Amino acid sequence: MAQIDTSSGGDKGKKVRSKKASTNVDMTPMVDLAFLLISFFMLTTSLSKPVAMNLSMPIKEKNDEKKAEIPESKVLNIICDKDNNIWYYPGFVAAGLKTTNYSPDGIRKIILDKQKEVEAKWGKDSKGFSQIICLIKLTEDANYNNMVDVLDEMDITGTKIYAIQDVNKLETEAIANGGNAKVQ
Amino acid sequence: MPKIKVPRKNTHMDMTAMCDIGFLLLTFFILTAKFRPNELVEIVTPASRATETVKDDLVTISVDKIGNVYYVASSPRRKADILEKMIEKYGTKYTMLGSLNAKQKAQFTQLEQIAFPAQAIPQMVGLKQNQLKDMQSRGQLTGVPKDTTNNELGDWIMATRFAYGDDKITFAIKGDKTSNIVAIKRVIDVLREKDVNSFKLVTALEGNKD
Repeated sequence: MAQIDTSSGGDKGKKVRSKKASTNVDMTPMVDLAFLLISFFMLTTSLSKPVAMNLSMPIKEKNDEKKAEIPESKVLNIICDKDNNIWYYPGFVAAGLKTTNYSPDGIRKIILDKQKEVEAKWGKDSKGFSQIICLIKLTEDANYNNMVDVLDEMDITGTKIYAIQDVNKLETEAIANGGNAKVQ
Repeated sequence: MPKIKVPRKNTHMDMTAMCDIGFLLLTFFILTAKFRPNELVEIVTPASRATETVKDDLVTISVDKIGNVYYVASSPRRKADILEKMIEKYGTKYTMLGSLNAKQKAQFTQLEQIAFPAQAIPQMVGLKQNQLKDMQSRGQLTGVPKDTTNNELGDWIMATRFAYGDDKITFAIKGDKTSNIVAIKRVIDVLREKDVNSFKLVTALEGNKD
């Protein structure tokens, strides 16, 4: 540190001694800099850290014999369409499709409502989760973000049984028709 | 009575120790931080609530905006094994691939991503990452073919599984936010065809948006 050396001086006529310079350096700015850099690196590295979500698909069956029977009243179909639009309908018959969006008041509320409905009829499973079955379908105009968003909703709402399926013909027709099944 | 003199104390503190700690931490963070690999295409992953961090030994299948597929195998040693398996399969069909020399094989292990059909490997291995990036920006890289007629993606997956043997292997799909779902579905289908039914989706950590 930059103290002034006061030990010498005063007695004249004696040997001229070279002043001893203090070897201490003020470290404060250096410390400031070091910690500034630390905070910078810590903040920036944690921002771009990728994470992974697990996705398990069923084993491909060569024949359709092993299809499990599922009760219609547990099923909720979620169809992701273009422009971040979601169509949904309960059960197996594609009729009366309604639209919603990815906001918390949108698809999440619909899943939670359906969960309550399923719970009233079937109760919860042994682990305390809702027995709802979500069938996620993605049209050709959907993008990858939509898929991840819906899978995220599954996690948020605690839906344990869900599957990614192809859009069937009836649904395609219903969507083209504005949600209602084609009138014969 | 004389005044009581309060001895003046030096207000300076010795900062040396603090400085040491500061730089020690700084060095530690710089050395442990991993730089983002210089990727051919910029892929903006969608955000999700998932919190599981990505491990290094992933085999990543990247899907870019226009649906091209890039195969990223992890370590150079694995890449060498995978290449051998691919040569086994395609060596007779594409003679250039069959007659790769040791230097070219070593160059292959340094590739960040496989962004071209197996046929093009002999011409591509010598290129630098920057040259590949140039080609990418000019739209000359078509990615790994994944159609039903020429399903090289499936072959890469199988080659990887053979190369890993009994070791655990984790596949991950890294898609762009705006990737069309058809390409992603095709990749999932190819994985399932090769009996990979459980895999990971690489996403970004979600900010506090809701």
